[in-house]
Amino acid sequence: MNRILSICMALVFAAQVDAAGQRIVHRNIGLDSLMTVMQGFCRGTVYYVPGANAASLVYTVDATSPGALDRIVGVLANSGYTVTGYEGDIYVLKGIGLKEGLPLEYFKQQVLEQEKDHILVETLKGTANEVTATNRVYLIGDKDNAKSGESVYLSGYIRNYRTGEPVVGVTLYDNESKAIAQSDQHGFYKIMLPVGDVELNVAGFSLEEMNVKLQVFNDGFLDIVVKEKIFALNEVIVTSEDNNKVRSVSMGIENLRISAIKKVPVVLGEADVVKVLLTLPGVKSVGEASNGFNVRGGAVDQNLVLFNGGTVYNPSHMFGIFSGFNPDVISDVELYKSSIPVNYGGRISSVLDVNTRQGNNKEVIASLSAGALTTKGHIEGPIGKKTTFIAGVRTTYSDWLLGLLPKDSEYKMGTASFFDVTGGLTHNFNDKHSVHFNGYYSSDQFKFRINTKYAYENMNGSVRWRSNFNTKHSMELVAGYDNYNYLTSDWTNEAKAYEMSFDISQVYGKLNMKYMPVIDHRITYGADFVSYDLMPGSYLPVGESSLVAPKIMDNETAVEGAVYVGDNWAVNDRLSVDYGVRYSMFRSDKFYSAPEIRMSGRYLINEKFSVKAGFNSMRQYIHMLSNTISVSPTDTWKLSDKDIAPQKGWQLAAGAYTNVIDDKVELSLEAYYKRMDNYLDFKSGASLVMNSNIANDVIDVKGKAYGVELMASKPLGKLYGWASYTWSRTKLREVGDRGTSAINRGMWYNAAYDKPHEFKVVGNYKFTHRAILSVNMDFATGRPATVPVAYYEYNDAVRLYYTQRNSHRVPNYFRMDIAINIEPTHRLKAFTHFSFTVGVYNATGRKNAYSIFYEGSKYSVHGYKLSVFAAPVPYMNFNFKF
Amino acid sequence: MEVLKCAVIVLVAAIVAGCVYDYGVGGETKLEKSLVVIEGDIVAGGISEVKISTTANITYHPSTWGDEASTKVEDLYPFDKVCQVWVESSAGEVWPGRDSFYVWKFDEMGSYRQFRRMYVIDTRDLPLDGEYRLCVSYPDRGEYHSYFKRVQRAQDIDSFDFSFKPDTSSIDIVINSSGSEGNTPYYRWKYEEWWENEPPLMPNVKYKGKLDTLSRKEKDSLAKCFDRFASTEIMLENTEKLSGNMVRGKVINTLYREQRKVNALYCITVYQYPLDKEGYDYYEAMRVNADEMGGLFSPYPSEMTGNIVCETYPEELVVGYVNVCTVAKERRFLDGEALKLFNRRKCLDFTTINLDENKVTWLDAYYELDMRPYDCEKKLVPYEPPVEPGEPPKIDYLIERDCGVSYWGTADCHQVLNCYSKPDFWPR
Repeated sequence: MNRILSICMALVFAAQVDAAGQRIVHRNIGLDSLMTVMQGFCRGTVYYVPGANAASLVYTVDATSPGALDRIVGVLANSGYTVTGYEGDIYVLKGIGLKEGLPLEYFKQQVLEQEKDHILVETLKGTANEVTATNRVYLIGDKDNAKSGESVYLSGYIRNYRTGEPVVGVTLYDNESKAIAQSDQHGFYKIMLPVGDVELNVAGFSLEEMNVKLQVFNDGFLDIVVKEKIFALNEVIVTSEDNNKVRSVSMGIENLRISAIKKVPVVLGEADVVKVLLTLPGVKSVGEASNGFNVRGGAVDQNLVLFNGGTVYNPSHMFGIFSGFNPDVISDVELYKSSIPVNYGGRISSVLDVNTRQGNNKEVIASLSAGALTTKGHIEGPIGKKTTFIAGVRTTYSDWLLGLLPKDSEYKMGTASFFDVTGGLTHNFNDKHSVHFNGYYSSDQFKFRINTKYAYENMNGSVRWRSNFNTKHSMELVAGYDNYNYLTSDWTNEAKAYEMSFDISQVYGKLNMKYMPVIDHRITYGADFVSYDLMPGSYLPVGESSLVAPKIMDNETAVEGAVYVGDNWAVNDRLSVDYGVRYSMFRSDKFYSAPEIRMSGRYLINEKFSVKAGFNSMRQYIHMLSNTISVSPTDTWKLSDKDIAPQKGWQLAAGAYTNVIDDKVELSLEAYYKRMDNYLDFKSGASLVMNSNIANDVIDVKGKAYGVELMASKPLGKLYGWASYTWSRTKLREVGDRGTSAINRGMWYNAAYDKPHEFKVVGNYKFTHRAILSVNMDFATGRPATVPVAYYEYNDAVRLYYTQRNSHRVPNYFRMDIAINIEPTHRLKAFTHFSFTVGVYNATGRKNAYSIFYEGSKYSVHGYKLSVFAAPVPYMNFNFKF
Repeated sequence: MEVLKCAVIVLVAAIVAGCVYDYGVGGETKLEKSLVVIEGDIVAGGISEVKISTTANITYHPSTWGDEASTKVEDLYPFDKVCQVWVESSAGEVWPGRDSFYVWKFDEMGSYRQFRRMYVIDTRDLPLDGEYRLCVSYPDRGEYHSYFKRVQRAQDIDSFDFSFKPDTSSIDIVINSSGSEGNTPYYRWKYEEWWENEPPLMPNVKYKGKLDTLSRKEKDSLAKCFDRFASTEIMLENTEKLSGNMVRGKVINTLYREQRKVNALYCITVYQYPLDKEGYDYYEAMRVNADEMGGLFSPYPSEMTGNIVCETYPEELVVGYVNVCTVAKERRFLDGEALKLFNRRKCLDFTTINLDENKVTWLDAYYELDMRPYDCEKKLVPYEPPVEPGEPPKIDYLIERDCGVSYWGTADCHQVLNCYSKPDFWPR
């Protein structure tokens, strides 16, 4: 078929060549000569097979005019020839031309006209290393240098067809070799495949599943464009991602899609990452208006909250009512409850990793959303061909509501507001190197009475460099700066008017390397450091009449570092282990260091059932100081030093995972046991504010937590969501020898967030593509409370005597939220898209107890219950997308 | 409205009342044995008063919301057991105490009298340079003592005055104090109020079969009582964070013009105690337990551990903190009558509806008329005096009452108001 023509000589007779670049017109040339002219436009080689009537064809072309190639193609088409590009070469053939794969009709699939055009355009432009269709065979590597009997690396990016953004969490799997990989937060994947024919299964949540056919010769690079699936409502889609939890070596990992976060009804309709986390098993909080969350019995400060790699110390607004993350710019959220990867460290309970999207690289789009209390907007889009940006802002206008309070309310003149700004810029130098800039700023201010003020801020900035050196090695280098500070002020009494502030800053750097020496091993290694600068407190007078003595506590500085190495080893088809060690170090006025072990293993009983076990040990060198039941605005942080040892924790976990009901439902059962040491609590009555001798007022506490989590999840279909039941206990005990002064006399007592039984359901039902009903139900045992056991008289008043901490429980908690999301228009080409959500938080109006407290009088002891949301709270949100 | 109110309160998310509901007194944990409560300070240069009582378990009412556990404070005091109480110095000197009855008083619900057993120790000659402790021998319970402590010298009260709000709706009682070298930065205050009590309506006549005028003596007896109140709030101050050991603008108490206290002559006596750090922490924990529960960011209630131990049973906890100190004291009077402070509602003229020749244009009721107590809501009280055979027809008196206070509206303060004996220091 192929015949290489030497046709330069023929051109001598037909061409008028002007060396000075003048117009060149070829008149009445034959097919051979025309091929020669065409060769001048191509980097590769032109191959052609003349048809039966080739000798009779003559052409006249102006080779120097604009669009000459297109005209040549058109002229050939008129003669019944089809021009096809393949690997940089041009093939001119009679009839349908060169086909690189089986005909579309072979699979009886309907191909959108749009998609066909897309394939053709990409092909002619020579960008053949991007998969956009599944009916082609893609060649990987140089076939002339094929490796035989070995495995090679295939890497690339997974991108969204519509926006061009990287897609996280897409699974690539080869059924034959059992090789598996998943795209990371930048959409990058790397998988080791055997040489030869490979059918790579590509699947992701709500994405069109693809089977990409490859001919693998050597290491190669292949970008894959994936499309969102438009589901028929009665269609139940089973994707290979359903087997993710079964196959994955890791356990205790929750991956939240932003689409799921937005659907769960929450208070006042504000999509909230942390509130949705609370619907997952093993994640609790002290109460509805409490800041932070507790994971498997850990305290709030034992969770590492990362936002684009930086640490957020107070990820909430309005004292925990709203999350600090704008959902419009969030890409994905991962919570590590158990198998914490070796590259994470610094907290002993969990890691919450939140990342923003890179931005649409095809067009500029924006959105605007307005709710009862907040409004938010975002914009994203490309800058040139290699750069994208994304920015989001959110603010509240709650002051007008405070103005509605009764005249005699002392809070009527108060103000409360917050705003946050998130931004990102991504530049891709090429397929191997990219740089990402991210920034975040949030500010909260409250002024409840005329003479008081409270404000806090979070600031995070980071730059991330990613490089794929070669098929085996990739690198990510991150550097950044984080800051959290707050300020309180009270000038009610002029003589004692003060302003108190706290500030913590950190500069950090992280180097993470990934290395795949052989197919069965994926090695991760690297190092990171954090340099802390903590100002524990400054207490300054306000006004001329203030007698407050200025006091600024000495700064605390420290450096924390770690080196780590880990390996994910596929021992055989059934058994995989993930093991590693992280050696952490910390220096303030004392040096601490210790190894942290991370181990987990998975055994596949069969394709649909696996069992796992894991062990983690962790260290934490920074502590949050709190003497309140739930995290309060004036809680501060303290670095470990010669008087305060680092917190230590370890967790042992095991679980079973399976898919049932034709793989429609994922079932998992996990059990864990956890120990925590050197956790800090306070002596009764101790003040943590501006306390220079904090070490004398803190108590060493140890804790133990254990539980069983059962979860069923149906991710797709008309009805989708998840349900879970958790039985767990968390107990604490004071360590030391304070005798009868010890908390609970040194005996074990319930933690404030100990709720033995929890049953949670999150369900969504799609009536149509435009209307979705969402229901969220939460039942939990009442949390512990300390109640008085006796009364006595002192100072002419009845006083209550408290003894055992947390020996009683508030009434059980039950809440149901309902929301309907309506999207009136689904027209893809409409300039704006509008949707609104109507919902009710606490639809049953149950007066759930946040706390109980007691007052004594001369005649009685009276109990009271504080309910944060004691009535159904309706809300409505409007969303516009441009 | 409740929905909006709750949403707004949550939005503010401060230490607000939120939505607070009644809750039954719960808890199955009880103290197996009551704890001894010892309250009092060793006052160098004064009389030390010590109260000894016990704790009582809270009765559990699990059935319905709002059930309360009743408290019988009088049951806390061991009236049948007389304790031995004394002050002991580290050098072995002893100041013995004696028991006495505490003042009896009415409570708000009626003529309910409470007795306290109190112990007094004359420590007026206590040397200021020694260390002292309080010792108690409690029959059938054991021997108790506080830790030895040195005498804390009270800070000076620089000024103690009434501060009238600009709109004169209330009066703050403000104290300024300061300490010199050797004084602690921790302060505690208590106060005692005394005031003249007058009935809502001043009697002028009496009826005993016939109308008659009241003598001056009878009027004074009926119309002037004395009431008192001792502070229950834990008032503390800490000057550690200030540039000097001084307290400025501390509001001890606030009077309102609607209160009967300012109707006539009012007196407040404030007592200022110095505390050491341990004592301050103890009272601060007590204050937090009483005042700071029920908020979004409330601390855990504290188990009170004072500085008293039981020698007989060392594991036994004892409630109380004994301070050893001198006390600063100041007293002030406020003549509400002269300043016309009391915002009394007008007593309207009385009218009679009976045309009997004995009608009067105004009348108050002497107790022998057996005026029925009235509901403050009702402004008119019909009266029907008994009619003897052959007596004149009934005389009906319609009386409008002052509803500004919750006291019953008769003219005899003994009937409806607390009535203590006039204190010795009263100027008139």
